[in-house]
Amino acid sequence: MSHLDGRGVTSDLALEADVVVVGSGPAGSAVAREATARGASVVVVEEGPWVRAGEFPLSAFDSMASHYRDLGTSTVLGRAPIPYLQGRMVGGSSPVNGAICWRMPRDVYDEWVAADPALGDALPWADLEAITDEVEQRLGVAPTDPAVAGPKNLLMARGAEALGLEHRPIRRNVRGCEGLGRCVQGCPRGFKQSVDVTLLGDAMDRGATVLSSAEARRVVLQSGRAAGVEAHAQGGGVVRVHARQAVVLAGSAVQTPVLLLRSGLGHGPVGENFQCHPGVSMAGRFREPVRMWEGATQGHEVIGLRHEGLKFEALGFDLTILAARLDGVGSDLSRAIADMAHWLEWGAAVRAEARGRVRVVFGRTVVTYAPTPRDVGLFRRGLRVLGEMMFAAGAEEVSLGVRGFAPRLTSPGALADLEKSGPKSAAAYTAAITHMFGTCRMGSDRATSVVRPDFRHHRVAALYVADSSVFPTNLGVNPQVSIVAMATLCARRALAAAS
Amino acid sequence: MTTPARPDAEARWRDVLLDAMIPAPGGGLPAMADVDRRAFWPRFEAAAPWLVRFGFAAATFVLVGFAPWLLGRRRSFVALDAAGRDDVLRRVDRLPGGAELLQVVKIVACFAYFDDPRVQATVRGAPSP
Repeated sequence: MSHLDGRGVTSDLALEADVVVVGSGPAGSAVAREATARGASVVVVEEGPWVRAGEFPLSAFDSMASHYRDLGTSTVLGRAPIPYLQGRMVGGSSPVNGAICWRMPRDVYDEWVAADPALGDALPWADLEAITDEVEQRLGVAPTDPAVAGPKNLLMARGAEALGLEHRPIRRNVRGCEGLGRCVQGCPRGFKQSVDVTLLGDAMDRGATVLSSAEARRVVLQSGRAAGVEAHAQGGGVVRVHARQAVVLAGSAVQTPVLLLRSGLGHGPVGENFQCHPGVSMAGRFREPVRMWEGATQGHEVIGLRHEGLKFEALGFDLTILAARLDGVGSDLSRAIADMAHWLEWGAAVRAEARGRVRVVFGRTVVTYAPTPRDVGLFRRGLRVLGEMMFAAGAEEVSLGVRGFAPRLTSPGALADLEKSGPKSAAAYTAAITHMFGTCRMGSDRATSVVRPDFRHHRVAALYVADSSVFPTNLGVNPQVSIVAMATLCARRALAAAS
Repeated sequence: MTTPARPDAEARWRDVLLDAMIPAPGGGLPAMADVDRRAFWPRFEAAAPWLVRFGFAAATFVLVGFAPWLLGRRRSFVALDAAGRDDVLRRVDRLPGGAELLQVVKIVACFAYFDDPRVQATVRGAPSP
């Protein structure tokens, strides 16, 4: 195995491999693992640093500064600027996500195939299922142990049960979790089976090289064929990685289209069809301390309204983020901080219909996106259900996080009013975006898609896209396992084509 | 070599503002004014994207430089006592657009406050239910 830290690469360097992978998140790691398993040599180029379990800091500021893109302040522009979170480290967001694992929903797959039947042949359901079975084993995916769930998760179960909503412990990729509540800062004990220590580790055991702290700036073309990648290492050197067989882009639904555009490969709808899961959250105060920062970071979910486009999750914030979400400033904020052990927060993720776009403007990445009225309606509906669950679970009051509506409620009565006549503008809601898709969508029509159903770029030979950019739509559920399954198929297709 | 006056004033303003944002939580938690932020600011300057630094500087300028006058106070924010500063922040929070202006300051304040290991230890050390 080999790790090359770009911070130490001070002069130009040339590397070569059968397959060059850009990005080391779930997609890139899965491609590297599958390609090395099939005997290919692989170089993975990753913009962020390699952070080991023992190096994850307690300080939320240090964590967000070093592990998240733009300190976690990346924002979509539109009528309602909404932050979107992306990890920027070896493993992508996997080391700092909530460890939530969902298999690809069959209903979403069927939507894709109904819209483009060629996808059914290129992505056999049985293959996706078989890959998912194996990946889940490797990642240690299992339901959250109630012994480490903590109050925030157990109370959600109580609230959902009282309302008759289907709910369950979240299936997570952890082994030996002790409920430290630090998934989103990186597990300091290494319990999370993130892709850097699992899939990428497997690839490195089979000889893959990982170049970290080096930003891929350009896909290099030769005679209309992808021949490699040019990356700029943080140490100042330019690294040219030649690909003998394939270049696979796996940088995320934001970074992959940006790399294509910067490489002059703006053919087709590159950057268009940006989709995501915007989410809203609600804070609730309980009489007994709930200590939201303890217990499995995200250990329980409510799935009974997934058919409406809503999924609910217990959230696990660090103290800093919880405090910033509490109401008030000055002496009001002081009192809230002193009382924060009694507050917890749950979220509602929306399978939104809105579509945005990723562009490069004056060299900077710009994402434009605006939730539709239907999506904002789901914000309101989600908040109503969250509030009703909280009161059913015993909350004394809830803080809505909605501007232009009552800041706090002490009974569920007004929640129906919120759903019916709450603010119609997305700007009124405290929202955040996770899970992004669709900006290099796959399909058989090159006018409406960027890659073919076999992940190949429509116009450039030996160029593949493996991440959630290729998903025709959002999933409505947490995508990391689906991304791994799809990327594994991508690696198989790329190597089959090369041979 | 003398330090330029303007950066000094900016540093003073942002510290006064952050002190007012979390005055005295109680429960064994220190006031923001008692949190040593000397190690925080250089890291913030180095790590925060320009838009965040710009937003924070602009919010500081508006809140410390103008807010008291706009609310009818005859003294600057810096010259107000703790109760006066608290009153200004809470009144701005209720104005249209005020909460958005304060949010960036609140986030920076929380970053700085919980960056202190004493604060982390005090909160985390409290007995579990």
